[in-house]
Amino acid sequence: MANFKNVDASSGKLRSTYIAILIPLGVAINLIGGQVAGALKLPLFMDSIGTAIVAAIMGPWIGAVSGVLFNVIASIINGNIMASLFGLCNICTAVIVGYMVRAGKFQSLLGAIITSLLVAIANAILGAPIAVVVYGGIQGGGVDLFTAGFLALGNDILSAAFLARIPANLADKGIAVFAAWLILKRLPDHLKSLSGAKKEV
Amino acid sequence: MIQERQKPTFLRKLNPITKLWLSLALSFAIVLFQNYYFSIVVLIVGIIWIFLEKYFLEFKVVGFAILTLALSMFLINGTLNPVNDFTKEPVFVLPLLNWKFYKEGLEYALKYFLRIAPLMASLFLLFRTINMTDLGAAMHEAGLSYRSAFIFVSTFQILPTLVKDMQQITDAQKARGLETEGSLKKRFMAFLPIMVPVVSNAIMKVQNQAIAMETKGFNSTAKKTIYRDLEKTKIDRILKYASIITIVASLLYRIF
Repeated sequence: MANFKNVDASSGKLRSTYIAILIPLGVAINLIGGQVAGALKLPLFMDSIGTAIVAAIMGPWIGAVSGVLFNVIASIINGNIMASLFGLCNICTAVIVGYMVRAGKFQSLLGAIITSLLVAIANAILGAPIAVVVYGGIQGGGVDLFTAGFLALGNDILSAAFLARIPANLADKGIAVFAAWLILKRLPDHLKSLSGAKKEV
Repeated sequence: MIQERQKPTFLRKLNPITKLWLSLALSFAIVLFQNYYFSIVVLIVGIIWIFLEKYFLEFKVVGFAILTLALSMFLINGTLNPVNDFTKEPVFVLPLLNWKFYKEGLEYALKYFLRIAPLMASLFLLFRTINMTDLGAAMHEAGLSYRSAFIFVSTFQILPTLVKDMQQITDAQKARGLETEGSLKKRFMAFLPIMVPVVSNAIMKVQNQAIAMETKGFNSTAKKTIYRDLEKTKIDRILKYASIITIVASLLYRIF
């Protein structure tokens, strides 16, 4: 494998081959993340690790495609076609992670934490209205307990759904982005960035 | 890998594109008509058909999700939703816990539940009976680029390999003393030690796969052919036009 270190993956035909491999891989990693979380009986989705990794390696927009495809395929598998609207959240995750990597801010631990925070807040802002439109605010998951709590405190549906998603997303996307960061750290240099972005020196 | 050949039933013989049309039509009809009777009929027919097609075991997961959804929707909306008129008498009070259920909240929950549950049951059935490779081939025939069809299909091919990797790594980590059961904190701590090796392994293999695909002419500009022959029968055509009519009708119903 070491002999292929100088294969230039950031341009030309080979880049499109890498895109064709990494988009499905991102989708599959997202699904696996969900499965591991399910097997460990964690009350979270953990389904944006793949999106974050693909966005970091291939750039924000390829990551966004991978994220949307994940939501479409997950909804095909579960039959819940309305849930593919949550693809918007994944676009957001991919764009934030992708541009943070391009700006070279995703290398230190601090950068990773800031990225997680941004991703979590963006996901809460986008996720709440989608959940209200699709499910009427209650979506049959761990988030509902928080939502019920905020409803009991006298909030309306939309703000309860939003407030509930902040702690839930901080844990969920926070761990997902952190996992993506850990994995990226461990990859060999020539696989870290195939998007022609700034490389770690 | 061993693949099971199942007996071709009516649903399995349909062209994949027809099923996409059908699922689109069902989604439009349920969301736009918002007729409770229609939704309930779709839900019940869907579940019975799932039994007939012998997908019950796989449906258990989705069925459980539908039940959780119903339970949390009716419980939370019935008691806490601000649309409830809390000055009125509650419809009923749960004994022991003294939870008061109000009419408006229950109706609100019913509206959303009957929008989602029938779709979950019927689309589960439609998509489970599609062979995903057939769907990719059909999409390519219908005009999608070869590359996009490849991306779509290969997701379903990577998934079983990754699941196998995940199980192996989970076992290996358990053998090294990782605790995957117990308190929430322990289970949280087990997440990264499983996830990180699975994903790094998968990404390390990407380069090999790229080289393999290059040698097999993935980027060749020659026109690619597919060896699968997908039939399109009269029923396919009828169902396709019926779906289009349903979609147009539901859109018109909503607008006027």
